[in-house]
Amino acid sequence: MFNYLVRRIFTSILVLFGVSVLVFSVIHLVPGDVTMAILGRQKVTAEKVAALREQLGLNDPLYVQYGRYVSKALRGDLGNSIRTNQPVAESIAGQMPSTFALAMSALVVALSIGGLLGLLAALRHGTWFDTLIMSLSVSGLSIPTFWMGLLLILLFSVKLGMFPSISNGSSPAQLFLPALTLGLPEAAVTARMVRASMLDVLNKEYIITARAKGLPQRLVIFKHALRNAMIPVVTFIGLQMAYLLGGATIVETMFARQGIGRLAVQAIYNRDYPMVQGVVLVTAAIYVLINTLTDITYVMLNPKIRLK
Amino acid sequence: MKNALLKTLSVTLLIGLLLTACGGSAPATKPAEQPTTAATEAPASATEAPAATEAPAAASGGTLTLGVAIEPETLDPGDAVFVQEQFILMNLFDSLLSVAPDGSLHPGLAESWEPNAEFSEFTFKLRQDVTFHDDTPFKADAVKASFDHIVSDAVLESGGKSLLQDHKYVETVVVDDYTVTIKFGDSYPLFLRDAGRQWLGISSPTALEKSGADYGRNPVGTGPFKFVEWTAQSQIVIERNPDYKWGPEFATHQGPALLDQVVFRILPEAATRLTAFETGEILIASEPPALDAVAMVEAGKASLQNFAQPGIPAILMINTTKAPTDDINVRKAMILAVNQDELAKTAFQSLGLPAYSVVSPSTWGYDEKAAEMYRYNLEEAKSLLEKSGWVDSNGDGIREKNGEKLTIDWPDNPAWSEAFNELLMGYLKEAGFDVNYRSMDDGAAYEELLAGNYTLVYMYWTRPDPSPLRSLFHSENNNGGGAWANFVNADLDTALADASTNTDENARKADYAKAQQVIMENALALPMFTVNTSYLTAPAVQGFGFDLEGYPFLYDISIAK
Repeated sequence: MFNYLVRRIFTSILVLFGVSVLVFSVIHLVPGDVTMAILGRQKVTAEKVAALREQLGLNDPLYVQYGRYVSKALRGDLGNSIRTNQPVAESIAGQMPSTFALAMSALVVALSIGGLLGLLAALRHGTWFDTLIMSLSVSGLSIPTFWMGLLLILLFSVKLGMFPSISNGSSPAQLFLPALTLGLPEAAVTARMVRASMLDVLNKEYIITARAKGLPQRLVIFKHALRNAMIPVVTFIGLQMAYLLGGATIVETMFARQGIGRLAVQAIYNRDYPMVQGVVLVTAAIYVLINTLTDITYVMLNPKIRLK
Repeated sequence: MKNALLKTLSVTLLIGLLLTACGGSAPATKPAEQPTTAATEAPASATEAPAATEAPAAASGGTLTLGVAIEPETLDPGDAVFVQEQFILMNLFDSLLSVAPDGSLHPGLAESWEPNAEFSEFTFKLRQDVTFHDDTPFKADAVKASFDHIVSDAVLESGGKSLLQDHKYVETVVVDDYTVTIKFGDSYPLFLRDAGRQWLGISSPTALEKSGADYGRNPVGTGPFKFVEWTAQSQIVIERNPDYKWGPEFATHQGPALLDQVVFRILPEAATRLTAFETGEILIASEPPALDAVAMVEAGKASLQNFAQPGIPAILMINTTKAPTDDINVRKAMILAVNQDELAKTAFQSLGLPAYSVVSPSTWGYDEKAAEMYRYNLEEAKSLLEKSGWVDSNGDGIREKNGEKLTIDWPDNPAWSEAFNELLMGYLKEAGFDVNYRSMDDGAAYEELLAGNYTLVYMYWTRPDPSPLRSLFHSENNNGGGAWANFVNADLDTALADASTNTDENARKADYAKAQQVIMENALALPMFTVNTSYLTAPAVQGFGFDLEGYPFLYDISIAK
């Protein structure tokens, strides 16, 4: 167990190192110069450009710039935004709660709707209801997020006037439409997952035994089947959480919500190097952290893996 | 059997549902439409009359929520460069003078002013009854602190800094508590008008010192509204300054602003702004998509406020040192091949007006003669090209000469030109040009310009007067300094240099007229359309008017109950 943990954490660090190198190089390799983006098109003199490059440390070799970046990042200093001159770490921390609230509420949507429908579909396996749920889940998976969001806005904001079309903060009314937009495709995946897992378990011999013993259906389902069926689903939640954090970008843009996804998009438009690096690094770190935790949880739940 | 039927039914139902959803009146969208910053200097004054609507309601109060496309980078007037910042700044800060929408000068924080004979030193007598939002009394030291702050190293590059440095700002001298003299090394005949701009707004010296590098997020001025909060990527909130009694004399009311609070909601997507406007979540939407805006106005749901900006309209500067546009006939043919009327109508739903010269008609110093030189004439364009030996020998629609194609090289960020670039290229192709449009971001495009790899450069520059012509066409700025045509002409240089320093208004006007004529005679730029700012306003919004720079004048706006 300990060995596994050490190995797992070591590979996580390796991944983060890879991400930082990649992000750092890619943004330096694309054509165009950040000083131009800052100074704009008017009356830029060569001296101004040179002075600014010096000030931003852009004249140093790339590996020096990278080394400086990493050593600062390890101390929690991700530099200052080139555009607003605000500390990057502070900007990300300011936007994080909003993205987190969105991802969490989308997860609730995914699990409650997806879990319930998946369970019902499994129990009514092979009936028209099962077919309907599965068809809906295919369309749920196929509809792009921005289109889903538009339809929801059209219905709930423009036609019914129930929820705001621009969202701010983390109250239920503000989160309803964004969470639904982000959560519905995930609910579709969850429904299929729960259904498959549940069907698998329901055909197990111990369930047949439980039924043969004459246990009531309620007990068979909730005590024996559901518990075991949930194991793969629980590990799946971890991966989904990471996916939801990434998927928040489109939803944040659609609803003009605060969040790190939108922060990243703006930073890319602005060629705001430190901001792009910071957001990608932090997002990657969260991704890696969640994945590592998921793996560790899985090992705890399923001792078979530990032995390998 | 029963099962199969139900399956078919449920699938049919599902498809039906989807079709209904698709068939509904889904709002037209343009994903990822708005980029971040405008590569333009912010607009300045106009000779336009304000778009006066109904008389302002006597009742005051309420919160006005506006949807704005772009988040400011700073609310420090001295550090600001971009349009979106000015719109918010004008409510938080006052300047020494107020400039009316007609361009006339009125007292602001200064009661009176006196330039010296050379227009290089200006003495202001200040109002004695003004206090900043942080209760600091307004005195001469505030003017000095603000101007010194603008030229300090803390400000890297800003609109205010270039105004002052371009005219060799020397210093601000505090004569007594309520008298101040601002000195320049150059004659600066336009300073009084510039002194009314937001960029030269006066900050509280206490706040400047207290907030230091964070001042841009904690601005303190004397304006009709006080700064309340700025939530990044979400909104900026300002509230009425109840002590305000130094508003401009040309406003329709005096005393504090009519609104209790104004919320600038940051909505970068045009479709999002439009939806939020439709649902009533915002009462004013900036820069609505032209088609949708016109439709809403026709449906009686909104008014459209449109402002043609003065200064340099949208033009394409033509490189005169690179083939094939080193030939004047080719440059003239380009201008003649483009139908500006149709371009403005098609691309901007007539919200934009066609431009025929390098200065827009609402600008002081606009010269009619220069604007009459070219009108769309495809046949003449073709014959000019033929005269210079450009013929389509292989029938592919593109002209050649000595085996070289008639290629126009246009490195550009499509964010600025997506509304019209295809249309424009269509016109040029019609005349036999091969347009090589190279899509890239601003930084990359700028490098191409510096390397000389371009034929066309897109440009517009909003100012109350034709003064940007010097930056754009004087040969001192050739080869990378902003005069992208790289043209050398002694008459043009003399006229432009004299126009920026001559203190005689009529002489300056004649200089600018001369400059416009030389530029158009030599076909140094292809004029396209005047740049507009537009706002959709809900029926409840009353007293909407533009200030001279084309920003909604929020001080006079009220909301009908």
